[in-house]
Amino acid sequence: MENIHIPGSHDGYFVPTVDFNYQNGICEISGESFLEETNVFYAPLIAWIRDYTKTGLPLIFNCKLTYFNTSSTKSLLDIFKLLKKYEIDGGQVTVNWYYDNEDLDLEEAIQDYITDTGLKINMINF
Amino acid sequence: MEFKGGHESLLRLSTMIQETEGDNLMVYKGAFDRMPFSMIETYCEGLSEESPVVKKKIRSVFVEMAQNINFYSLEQSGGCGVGYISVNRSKDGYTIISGNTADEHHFNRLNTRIKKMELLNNDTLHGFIQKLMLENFDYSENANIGVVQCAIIANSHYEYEFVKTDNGKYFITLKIEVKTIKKD
Repeated sequence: MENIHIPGSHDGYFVPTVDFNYQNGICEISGESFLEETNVFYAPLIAWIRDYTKTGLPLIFNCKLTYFNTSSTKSLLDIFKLLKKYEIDGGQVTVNWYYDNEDLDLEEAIQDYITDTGLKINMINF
Repeated sequence: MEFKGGHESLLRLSTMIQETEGDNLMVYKGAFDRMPFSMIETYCEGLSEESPVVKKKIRSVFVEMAQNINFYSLEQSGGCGVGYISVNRSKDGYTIISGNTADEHHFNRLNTRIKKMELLNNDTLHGFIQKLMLENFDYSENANIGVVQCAIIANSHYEYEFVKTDNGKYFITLKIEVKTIKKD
């Protein structure tokens, strides 16, 4: 498997920074997510995680997104569902979401993911 | 696609903007490519008196409404939907108004959704969007989920006008206010 690195950008659309590392099993996504073609952006990330889960190795997913639009919300939900499935199948999954706890909209969104997927997400104020 | 019957609709949109109390701070008319998104970014950066939370709310609502125009406007330019959007500073916050053409299918879905949303408070709206999000939807159209998201973020209901035009299409005007959180 190859690592994924996508540098984030702000050019009308907001491309998040992505670092998925096969060697240490750490996947990180940060910045803001509002894309021209959301599914085109997220499909390879979802495919990468799906392939990684076939290895049976531990996976740490660090999310540092501060903003994501509705389409991105759906893609993130697909990722968290996949991680939950991996956990149910015996995989070791840790999900951390670094956020500003004064941002109540974001806090609510994270809570929704926990409710909707049953996945434990560690909410870390920073 | 040529939009017939546009003058009356544009007049209504213009009236709605003018009737909004406060300063008209930003207006965009045209294709919803990168330009309006860059504009709102710059605009929010300039709101030095507002908290980051308020700026984010304004930008979030703007983005969802702008994307609706991009997805659903019958008028197209360069592969992007064409429409209008404005941001006004109002007494209690910021009012965002959008206007675009739409076909009957989109009108019917939007009309049904907004009428349903009028009956919901912020808590029940939240449950509503969670249900929608768990349903499978086509990425090529966000199924108007963004419209619900705007109401939740803004914590207010829409004012709206749906005008049927002489070619059997619709001109849709949506208005929503993002309330400002007062600083201590």
